[in-house]
Amino acid sequence: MSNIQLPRRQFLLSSSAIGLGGMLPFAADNANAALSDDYRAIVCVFMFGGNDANNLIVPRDAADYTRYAGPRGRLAIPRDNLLAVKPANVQGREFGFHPAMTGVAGLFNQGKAAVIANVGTLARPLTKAEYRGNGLKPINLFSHSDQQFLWNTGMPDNSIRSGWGGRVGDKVYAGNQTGTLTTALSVGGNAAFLNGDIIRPFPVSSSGRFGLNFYDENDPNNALSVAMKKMLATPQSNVMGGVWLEILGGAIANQKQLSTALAGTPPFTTVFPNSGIGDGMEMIARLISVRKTFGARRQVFFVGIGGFDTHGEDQPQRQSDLLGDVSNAMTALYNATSELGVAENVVSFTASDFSRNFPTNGKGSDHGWGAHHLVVGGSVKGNAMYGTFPQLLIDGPDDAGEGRWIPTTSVDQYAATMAKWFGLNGNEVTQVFPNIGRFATADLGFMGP
Amino acid sequence: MLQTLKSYQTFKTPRASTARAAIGLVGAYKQHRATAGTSRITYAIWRSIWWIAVANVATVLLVSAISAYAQSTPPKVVGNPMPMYRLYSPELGGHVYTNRAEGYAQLVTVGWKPEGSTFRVLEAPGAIDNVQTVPLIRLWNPTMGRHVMTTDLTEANAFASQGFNNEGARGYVLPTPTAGTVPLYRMYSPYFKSYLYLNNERDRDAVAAAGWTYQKIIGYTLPMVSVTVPTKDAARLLTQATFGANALEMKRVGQMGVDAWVDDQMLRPAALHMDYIDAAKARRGANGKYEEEDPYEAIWQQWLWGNDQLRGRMSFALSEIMVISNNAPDLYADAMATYMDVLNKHAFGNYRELLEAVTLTPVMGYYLNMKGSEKEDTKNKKAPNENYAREILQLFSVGLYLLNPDGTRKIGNDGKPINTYDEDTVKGFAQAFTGWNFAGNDTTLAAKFDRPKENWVLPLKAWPSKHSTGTKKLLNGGMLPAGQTPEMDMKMALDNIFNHPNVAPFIGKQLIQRFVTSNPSTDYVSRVSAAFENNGKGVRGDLAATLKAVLTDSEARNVAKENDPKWGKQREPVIRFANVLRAFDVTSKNGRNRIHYLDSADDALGQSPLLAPSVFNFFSPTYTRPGKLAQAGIVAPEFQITNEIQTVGTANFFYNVVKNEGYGSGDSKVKLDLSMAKAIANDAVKLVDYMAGLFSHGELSAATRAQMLEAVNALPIKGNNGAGSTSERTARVRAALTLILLSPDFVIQK
Repeated sequence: MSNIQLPRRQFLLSSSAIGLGGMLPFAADNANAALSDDYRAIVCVFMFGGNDANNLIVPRDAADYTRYAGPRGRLAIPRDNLLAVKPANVQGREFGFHPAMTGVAGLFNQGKAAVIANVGTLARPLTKAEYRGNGLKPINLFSHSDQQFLWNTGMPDNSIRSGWGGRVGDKVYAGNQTGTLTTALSVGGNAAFLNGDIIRPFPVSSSGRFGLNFYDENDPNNALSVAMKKMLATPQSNVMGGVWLEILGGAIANQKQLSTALAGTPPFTTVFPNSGIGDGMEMIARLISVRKTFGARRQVFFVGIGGFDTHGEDQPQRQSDLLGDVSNAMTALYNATSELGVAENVVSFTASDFSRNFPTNGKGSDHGWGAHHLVVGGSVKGNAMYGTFPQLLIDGPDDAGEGRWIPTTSVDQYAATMAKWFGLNGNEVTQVFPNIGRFATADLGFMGP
Repeated sequence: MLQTLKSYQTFKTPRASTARAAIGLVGAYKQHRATAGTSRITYAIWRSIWWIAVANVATVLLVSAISAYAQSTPPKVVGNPMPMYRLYSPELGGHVYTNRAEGYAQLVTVGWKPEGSTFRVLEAPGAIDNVQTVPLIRLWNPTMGRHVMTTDLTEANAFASQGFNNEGARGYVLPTPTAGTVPLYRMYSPYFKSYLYLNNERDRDAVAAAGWTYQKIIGYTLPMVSVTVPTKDAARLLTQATFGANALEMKRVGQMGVDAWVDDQMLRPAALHMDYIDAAKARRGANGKYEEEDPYEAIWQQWLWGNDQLRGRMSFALSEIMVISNNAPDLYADAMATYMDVLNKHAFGNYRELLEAVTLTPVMGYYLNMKGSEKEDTKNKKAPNENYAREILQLFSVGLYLLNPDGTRKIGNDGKPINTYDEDTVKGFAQAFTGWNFAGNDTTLAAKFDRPKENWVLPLKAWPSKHSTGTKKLLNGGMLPAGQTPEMDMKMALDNIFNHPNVAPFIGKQLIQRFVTSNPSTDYVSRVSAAFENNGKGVRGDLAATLKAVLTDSEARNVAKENDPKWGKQREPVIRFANVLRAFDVTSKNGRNRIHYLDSADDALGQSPLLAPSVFNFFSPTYTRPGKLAQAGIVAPEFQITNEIQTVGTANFFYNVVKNEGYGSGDSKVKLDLSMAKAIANDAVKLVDYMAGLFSHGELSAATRAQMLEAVNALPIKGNNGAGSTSERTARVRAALTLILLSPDFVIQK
């Protein structure tokens, strides 16, 4: 993948195109056959509710494991059940994945997956002393809605409402033939992550149900359709009324395009899990398979899975089901993109409100902060751990209190690393992540060229 | 006189609502005969009499209202005027009048049907236009099953000697007329041995013509005030406050006025959802079990057919603020039904009591993990569960930031919003809420706490041995002393929340958003906050007063607001669905429904009661959509679930409802009555106006109206010698109905 970088010229042009609010003529570049393979996609897997990352990956060395097992109480996974891995970058320490994550552990061992340790929302690097003192902290730590929002916006001390997936899309959409339509696609409903300053997420039903049953805009004899077409085009004085028609009309137009494009996609050999996220991932794979129909070179996807807010005694079983589902779905996406020959062009990563606190509350666990996350893809420099694994010590140097780890890597750094791989240059990365300069590096190094 | 006669005759024209009421009465009569079996009147005669009587009763209310409206000079009143409510018992075949809220509620509970109110009495002895009042005495004859009222003590004694029991005063009226009062004519029917009280000569004569005897004027009293609510505003109110306007209810608002209608609704009790699911279980035989879907049906029973519409809307609104969800984890049927019963019970009670009742429901205890949370264990590093503590503060009561009474955020010296609480406060409440688990266990045994016998209906109970003993930090510098009982800590912790100044704007503004508009003015929020702070009698947290302030506020009632581009709200998808069903007087063969999961976005509504994705509900009160909504600086909570998948899924869903003329299948299919629409479908203008009357307060934008007319006119009416075949008429109804249901005129409530 030597020819993967978009020409510098094109990015300059696309930046100016944003200012004009227009789309670039695409035909000239498209004539270049080499560029037809120029494709990259980022897939966000959002685990709603706050995944307990303390059990996603666990230190297996004897002393480490003891420090883990004590405070975790009933939540501790038996050492022998962990799926052992030996990541690079951790001075030979041994770790183990949650036993339900066989797929991801396998990809990790193949060098196609990596772990980023202790990532979280940060306005700037923060020591424990600064946390206790007057250090600049993200707003409303430990609140679901706010921390989800900050993970999506990547702006912990700012009221900017756009999502970083959307802002990344703003920088690249002009290189896509269909512009804003197919740059940011959500199979998880309205995704704040994909709201750019210019582009909007285009929600796609993971079931593949498209279009109105009763509407044919091209049939002049269909009285209902003729009237509806006029209604959809009628300006409204009431703002909400206008937005209602805008969404309905946009949906009808876009779904028609999608259903046409997807109509002939062949089935995958890969079997996707029979679940919401499984269906979502399959739809993402199908959309990637028809990327050329849309002339799409850069795409950001979003898929969500709920149920991670495990305060109660069902945490062990529930988290096992959910992580198994996530692992199987991410693995299936990897395998399907291999079938399509674009495994190196697609990276999927996990996100979540926050991790959960380290000691059990007696049944499950409560809201935490810094979390370990996964990246999967052919261009991931895998079989390695990036960032710094926290010291599993209550009241230790990483503990904000009650075993909530103060993140040592920011969401911005995690995201910027993927944005750079996606093709954004340094200036563009800084525009998308205005706080990135506050942190040691904008590239954690987990993505290949 | 001619005018009077004409208007009276128009009222006698049979209309759907009257016919429905009559059918109900006949049914009730059959039931009465089956149980009592004493009537000597043959069924046919009885029915013919009742057709007349019922038509007249419907007439009487309306005519009275109009005559009362003619009254222009307000009388000088010393005392508190209150509506006198009339109720009818199908079983007894007689009427009763009451001005007492609790009595009214009891009567409804035992089967009396509310019929509204046409006059007012004073609550206590007083004066009107300087004339002193006398008590309006009500008497009850248990043998006859009849009430009678009089102001004449001699007459009261005479009734008493005939088997009537004196029940005391039901308000106070004048013995002599003044300019500001109307007479109370007492009418007696020898057929039914029953009494009615009317307010003017016209009604008196009309009822007399139907076979009633005019007896006397028993006193003089106040008419209903500002009773002519224009149809449009009646429809707007019903859009805001019910699950859908229909002709009967619009008339009732017109008769009673907004205030009295709201008061009347608030007095109506809810049918217990537990009763519904118990009946469902009983139908499944001796070994029958509850099914997970039973509670959804109970909810839709209330929404579609309950006469407690405002209570239903309020309990639904509360269920979107204090959220439980069967989405995950799985909840039991009786746990969910109990929750709805609790919300219905406290819907117009005090917020403080609601907060406690909600906190102690087993289902909330389970959903947010307060149930089974125990004191900290420093040795094993276990801490009380923080989930409920965090969400009761963030979502159910005060929110994250300090608020002004007008709902805006307070700003600190650093220019930023000020947090309402810190992590230690969350911890403090988590400790305060420790030690609670299922009722029906021995709370002195620690082992029972770990493995309690389950009861999903009764409020949780406390195990003192599992309760945190230390001090606990609360809001606003509050602190619970060490060593208190779990009950005392619970009480004081909830008092601490309840008394926080944020509660009034936090809850008040959300109620405005659920009922009226997404972006109320700060003045409107302030007025609602003030009603929460003080209901006029010095009581804080009165939800009846708060909701009444929401619905009767000048901003809510101002029809001109419809022209404000930022006014209004999206009707919630489930409410849109209920609107369609109620507009066409939906019925099912077995009187039940099978409306279960509507939360799928691509083939249903993307919303369903008790199935939110999380405790954060389907949408946030502060959601705005990037683009035109954000640019306009407005929030639009319902648009959080409105996207390209859901709009198309919902459009298909509504089209299917229209095409199938209902929802579901078999005996529990809820069927639309489109007979009226089809009857007028040959006349495009009439059909479109009819739809507008049902779905957009009788008005449509010029564009929508033109588009609907164009669609209807494009569909030919040829068959049946030019009168239109059934299929032709049906096609027109489908087109008109589908269009209006997708139009901004309907989707956006203005």
